[in-house]
Amino acid sequence: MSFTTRLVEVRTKILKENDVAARRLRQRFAEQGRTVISLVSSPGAGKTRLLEETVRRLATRYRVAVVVGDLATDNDAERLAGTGVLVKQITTGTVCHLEAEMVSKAIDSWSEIALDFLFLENVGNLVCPAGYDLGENLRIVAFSVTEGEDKPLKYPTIFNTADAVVLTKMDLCEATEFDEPEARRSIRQVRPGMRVMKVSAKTGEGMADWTAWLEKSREFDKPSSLDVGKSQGT
Amino acid sequence: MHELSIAIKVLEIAKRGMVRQAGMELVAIHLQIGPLAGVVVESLQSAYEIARLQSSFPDAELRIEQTELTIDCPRCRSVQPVVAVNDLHCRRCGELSGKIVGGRELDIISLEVMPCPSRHA
Repeated sequence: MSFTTRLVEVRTKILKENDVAARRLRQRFAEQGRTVISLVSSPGAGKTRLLEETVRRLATRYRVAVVVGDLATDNDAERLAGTGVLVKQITTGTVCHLEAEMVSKAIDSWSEIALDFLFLENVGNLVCPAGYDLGENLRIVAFSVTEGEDKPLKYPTIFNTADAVVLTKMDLCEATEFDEPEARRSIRQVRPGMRVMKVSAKTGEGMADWTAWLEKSREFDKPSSLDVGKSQGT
Repeated sequence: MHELSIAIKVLEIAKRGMVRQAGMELVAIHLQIGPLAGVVVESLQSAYEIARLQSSFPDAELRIEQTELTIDCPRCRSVQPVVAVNDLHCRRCGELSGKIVGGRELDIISLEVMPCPSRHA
């Protein structure tokens, strides 16, 4: 048989549906005056602990809520509920990341509730969440000092889609002989100019600076660092 | 880890595209994937091999073009490839830049079709 083939141009983003849902969310968040912060990290980097301390501090002055994504269990949601803020758990089952539509469904019942800050704790995973825009204003990577300084070099994509890094568990810095300059070099190499903040949720070190930065982010529609961040194209 | 869901999505988009291709058979789906797409090309390829058997196009191949990670180099004043995915120094002059131009692609570019043999044989 000698049929020749021809190419039909499609030019579609494979994750277009997620991008569209994320854009809708972002627009709604802006209209509602919500600042939305997503948190990604490898499992065990201290996202939940960091969030517990963060929302506890912010909740004295702001209306705060959290959405937590996990493959299974609602342990993290229970911990966060202990802070007294609104919490929703998304159990993703076998899905390794949150998607915009999951977030949209999870917060559906909060549409009439006034919120200043909404935190989205993603599934602990440094690979899959990278490609999924959740409509957030800022994406933060939590990077603990118990991980290798070269983590950014191993997972450049997630660092590349994020807006800032929070170095967590700083109280363990000495015990783990964490080489901070080396870690900063790694971060710079994959994402030049990215802000790095240091915290210990346990001792409170750096928490005031971190929450002050979050408060400041409310003043801007889009932080300048976002223009080299995740793709927000069509 | 989510390559299977991406493979299924690719086949869904192809199916929608093929609606307008009456009398044609899908031979291949052409993708462009950048190193910052968060997708492992080999995993996607093997996930696709499984997904296509359950789809309307069990014979359609997946052809993936891997794009380069490029930056807008302030020193060269042009778009240049970088040293590596985890090293955004300009490959030409060594300058570091965060202005990424290409490398996030996760796109279906085209559908390769040919007349259905059953109808034209």
